[in-house]
Amino acid sequence: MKKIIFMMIMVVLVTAVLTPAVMAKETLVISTWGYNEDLLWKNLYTPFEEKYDVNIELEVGNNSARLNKVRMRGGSVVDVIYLAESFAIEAINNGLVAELDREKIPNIENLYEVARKPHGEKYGPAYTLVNLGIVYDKNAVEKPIESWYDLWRDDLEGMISIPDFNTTSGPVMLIMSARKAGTTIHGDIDKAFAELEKIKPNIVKNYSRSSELANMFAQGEASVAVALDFAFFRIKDAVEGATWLNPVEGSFASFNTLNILKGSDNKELAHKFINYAISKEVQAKMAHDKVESPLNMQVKLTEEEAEGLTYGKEFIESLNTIDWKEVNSNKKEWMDRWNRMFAY
Amino acid sequence: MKYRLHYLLLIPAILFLILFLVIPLFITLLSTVRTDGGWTLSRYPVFFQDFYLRDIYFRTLKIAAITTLAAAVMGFPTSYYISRTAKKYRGIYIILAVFPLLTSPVVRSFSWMIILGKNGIVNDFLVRIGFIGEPLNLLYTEFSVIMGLLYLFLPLMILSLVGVMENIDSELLRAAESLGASRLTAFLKIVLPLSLPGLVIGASLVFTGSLTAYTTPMLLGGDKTQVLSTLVYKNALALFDWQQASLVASIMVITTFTVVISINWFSGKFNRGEAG
Repeated sequence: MKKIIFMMIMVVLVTAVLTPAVMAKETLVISTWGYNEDLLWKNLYTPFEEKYDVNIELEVGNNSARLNKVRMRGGSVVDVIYLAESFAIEAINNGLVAELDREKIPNIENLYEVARKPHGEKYGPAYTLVNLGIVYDKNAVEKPIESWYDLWRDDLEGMISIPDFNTTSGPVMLIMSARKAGTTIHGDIDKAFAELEKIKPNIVKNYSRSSELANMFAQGEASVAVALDFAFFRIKDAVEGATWLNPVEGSFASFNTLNILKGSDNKELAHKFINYAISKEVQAKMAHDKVESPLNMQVKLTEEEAEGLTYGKEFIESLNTIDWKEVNSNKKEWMDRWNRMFAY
Repeated sequence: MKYRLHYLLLIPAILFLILFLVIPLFITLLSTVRTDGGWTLSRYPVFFQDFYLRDIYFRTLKIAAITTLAAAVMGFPTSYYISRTAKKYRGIYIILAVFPLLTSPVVRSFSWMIILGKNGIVNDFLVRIGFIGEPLNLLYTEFSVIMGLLYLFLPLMILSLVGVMENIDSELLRAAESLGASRLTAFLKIVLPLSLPGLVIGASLVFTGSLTAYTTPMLLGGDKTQVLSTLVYKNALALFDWQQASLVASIMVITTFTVVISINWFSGKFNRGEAG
């Protein structure tokens, strides 16, 4: 009994001594993915903590799980949130995102035009982008793939894995089906789905995680996939003939954005964080470590340094984009249609 | 007085369960029958009228039932063997049987992908011995989901059965044999009925687990083998449609309860019939 009381006193004392020391500094809570956490601490979080004498706390998880948490709590706790474009729109539509004071983020001017205001003047910038194209095993296909439309080829029966509709790259196949049918997703969506249906015999599975996709390639379940470039690097490790393709119609850009949430008590600091995250200094370090493709135009990379990154004004501007507003407003109906189609 | 105080020890656990299980469950169930102005049960028939959703429901039920049956068939002899071995070895056997539970479902599912894939061990072997010409499509089928689930939940069946079988007095078997019963009759008349409680618990655990498992069907199943749990996930985390997600969750809860109660009821009947 004495021991327990002693322990309890110790706990109280230690907490009492430590708390003020921690509390004295401002704490910025950031909601983000768990990838490359070590490199993010090295290049961004720790230098930021030191520069402004603050603490950074992370809330880690995938887009939907984190967004859900924020929604459940009514927006508080988290100050800055990293989200893929589609989920950022979702957050904005749900009234969770605070308006941005662009004057406090001068570095926005140094970003590529496409990255400055992906969701309008009031909301946060994109800080990086991921390239969305085609990965295939050149040893497994009869002739090389060059176009999005090659995916409909008969010789690819049962060889392709495409992203599930509800992932950040999901709508691409619908967009390309629409284009192939001579329309757009704003136009005749029935035609688009009819075209998509024609590719069904070629599809092994809709995948939802990039680790799953890498495994499918390794096991010979899939030899072609519509994928984000970081999935390609994993696949390349497993399959010798893995090849990245930017199709002739162009790849797609998938932007990741930074936003401040309503209910943040540290709006000043949050602005500083976003400004720092898109600064030349941080973006260059991230690029050198191959963590993120830079969107700050001042970052100059040699060909070697740019390898594996989505880099260069011309290339970035040539990428297709996904109209997430249109997709999100039809998501329920389209996803349902998509799932039912692939279920039979 | 002293005896009654024992019940107080249950209070923390009961409070915990009420607060974090019963109340949330009740709220979830309630949300499926509430409308803006009143009450309705119409969402349930609407769910079952949709052939796509109905197919998912019966597929889930089928997968869970087959897994449970297979676990019972495979678990029974194993458990009987374990329960009859010397005490000092029993621990080792049980650890071996429980081993699959020690790794995460993701790792286990990835291992099954390596076993069942087109370049996997099974296909490789079958092609090499010339049994088949082309690798079979084993992955992303109901078969692969059932394999994954069986591997996952068989230990629960074995544990429940061993616990009960250990307490069957081997004198009973000897007595039966000395009275002229064959080994098979002795097994059917003594071991089987006495193991029934373990079988009931094991079957309930395996069935519930298989019906609600998410990772295994997500990774080992395909577009054509959607189950209720993947449907809940899609509704809740892709569409943020908590209403529909609650409906599916409630259907799962009601199904589980119905099945578990039925298993109990049947085993009760069976036991009484034996006794009479």
